[in-house]
Amino acid sequence: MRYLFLDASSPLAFGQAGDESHHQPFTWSTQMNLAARLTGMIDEMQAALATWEKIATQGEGGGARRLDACPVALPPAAPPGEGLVGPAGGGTLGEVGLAGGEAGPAGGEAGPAGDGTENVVCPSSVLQRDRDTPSGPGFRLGAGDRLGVCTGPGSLTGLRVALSFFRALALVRELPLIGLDLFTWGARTLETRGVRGPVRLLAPAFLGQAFLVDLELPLRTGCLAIPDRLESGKTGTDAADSPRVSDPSGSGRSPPSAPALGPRSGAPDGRPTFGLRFAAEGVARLDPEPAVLHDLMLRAPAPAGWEALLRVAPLYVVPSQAELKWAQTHDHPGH
Amino acid sequence: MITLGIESSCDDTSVALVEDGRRLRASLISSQIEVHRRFGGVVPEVAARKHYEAILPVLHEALAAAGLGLGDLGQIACTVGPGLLGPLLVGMSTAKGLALALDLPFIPVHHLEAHLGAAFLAREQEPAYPYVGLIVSGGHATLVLATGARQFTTLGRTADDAPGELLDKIARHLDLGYPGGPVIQKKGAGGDPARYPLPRPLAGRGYGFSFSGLKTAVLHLVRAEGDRLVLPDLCASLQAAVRDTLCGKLEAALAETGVARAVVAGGVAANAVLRAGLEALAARRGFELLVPPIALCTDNAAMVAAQGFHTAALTGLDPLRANACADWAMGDPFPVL
Repeated sequence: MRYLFLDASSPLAFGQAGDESHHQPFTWSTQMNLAARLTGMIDEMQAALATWEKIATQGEGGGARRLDACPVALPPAAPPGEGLVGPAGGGTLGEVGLAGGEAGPAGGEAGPAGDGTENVVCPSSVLQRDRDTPSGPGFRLGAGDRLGVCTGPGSLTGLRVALSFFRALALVRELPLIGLDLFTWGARTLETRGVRGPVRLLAPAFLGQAFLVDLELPLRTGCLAIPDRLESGKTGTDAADSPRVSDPSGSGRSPPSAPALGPRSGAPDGRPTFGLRFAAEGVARLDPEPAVLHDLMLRAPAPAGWEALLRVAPLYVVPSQAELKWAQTHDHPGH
Repeated sequence: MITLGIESSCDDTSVALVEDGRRLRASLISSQIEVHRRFGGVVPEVAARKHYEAILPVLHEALAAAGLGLGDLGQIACTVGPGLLGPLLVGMSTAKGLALALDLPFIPVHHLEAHLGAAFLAREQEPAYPYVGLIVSGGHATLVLATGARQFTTLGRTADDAPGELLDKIARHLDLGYPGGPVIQKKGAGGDPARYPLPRPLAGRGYGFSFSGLKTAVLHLVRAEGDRLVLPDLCASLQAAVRDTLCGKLEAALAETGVARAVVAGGVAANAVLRAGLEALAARRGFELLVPPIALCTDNAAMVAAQGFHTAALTGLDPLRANACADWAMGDPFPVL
């Protein structure tokens, strides 16, 4: 199983490609040109997938084993059997092949050349090489693969661009499309760090405010999204039809609050408060982790099909400004 | 070849399938008029949300109506400008995703150029050049000389309000409803177009338009007349002023360029008073007049698909790098990064 994920909730877009054994995060600064760069992003992420496939194939042929994770930079050359295998004598790294796991081939297990050089690889260098010689345009995921996209909260335009694009990809290739909100991703990250009990998560919003949600960890198994508060009937999206999975604990704990707009400050009830990709007074910074995303993308329930696709939608925490003004005027005509 | 067209530049989500650029296989439009009525105009963020909700169901229905599947498509054409950026991005991103996944060409289409092309689609014929084109809608009043595919010289455009915008604003001021064009046409039926002598802005002064002065004149008239105002006569007089202004500019452009063909398109071209005026002008001056049927005057994806078919060879390198652009000029290369 392979997957591609895109989070365009902020101008610094985040992407991730992965398969059963690897994952690779990407970031792009996409001020005003996200929509123009979408296919380039897909190409970059697919290059990672292609590289892993190539490595796996050549590794099997060359007696190499696979890395469980891709280091960003290759550590210094080490003797066979200690970490990544380096070239004998500290020379140039071999270009093709892959050393095994956290440690190199046991006992100096070597590739075809028998000197420990042939199976050494720096995944980042291979990725770079493949980017320099792209394998051609197109979209190569197929049966058994998955797509994922961040549903927010965040930049509504960015979210809609990413969602629209990925929905179309999923529609054509009949792939499951996982809609993952930042709150759930953040909550799952906290869980892996052993955080339990009530927490508040904040995501940056306009004018120095924050989108916030109160949760109790751990979330229910399989939960992929925090229930949201959609403006029922105002833009045609009815909360009753929301794809977002509620998270009743079933154990007497309070269910998650609906996301709302609030201040960028600590929760008044004293519960630990975390800011998604930002920190503030009383708010600890929390960066949702690629490894958590990787696990979710591989193991989360991922219904496919037309109906499921239509349910993947941006997380609109508040109505549009025009709707708010209209409501104010009509609720208080003299206002 | 089947071209899939997608249009989402304003408040209509539309998907159409056109064969060989001329034969309309299906065209569906999901209108947001009811959603925006309470605001008295289109709200871009609300429009973008509705486009996102509607676009895949409309695509599904259009394919079903045409009896086609995604595998039957030959290329994907989509409006990328000008228009409202948020709504444009929904359509364009969807279109790009379809093109990439289906491994089909993506063709960025200019909304106004597509409006003009609708006149030829209606006749199931190839676009013919040269012609003088007049695009009149809620966002545009533009007069161009077209000499070839994607070859335009802009003769004039509005300096302020577009005629559709003028009608919307006056209808809102008179509490007649939204959109203004159809309701003013309805209210003006049987009215006396000569009762209220409204100005013909910039008459005889080049090809530029300006409708804000006309709007002000109407508002002053309404205030001055008070209870004496005869609404049907006002609506008829207003439409006559718009008709005379547009027909006058078109007539002058045809005379100066020596071109004997005119294309008038856009939502305001659906107005019956304007259409009658154009036909009378064409009969008097002896030029060929092409005005799309009303269904193809307002925003629709059929015109986008047809335009995409006729301009596919002109897109240049890697159209998937195209960006949406609120003010893309006619004839210019598609906007990129």
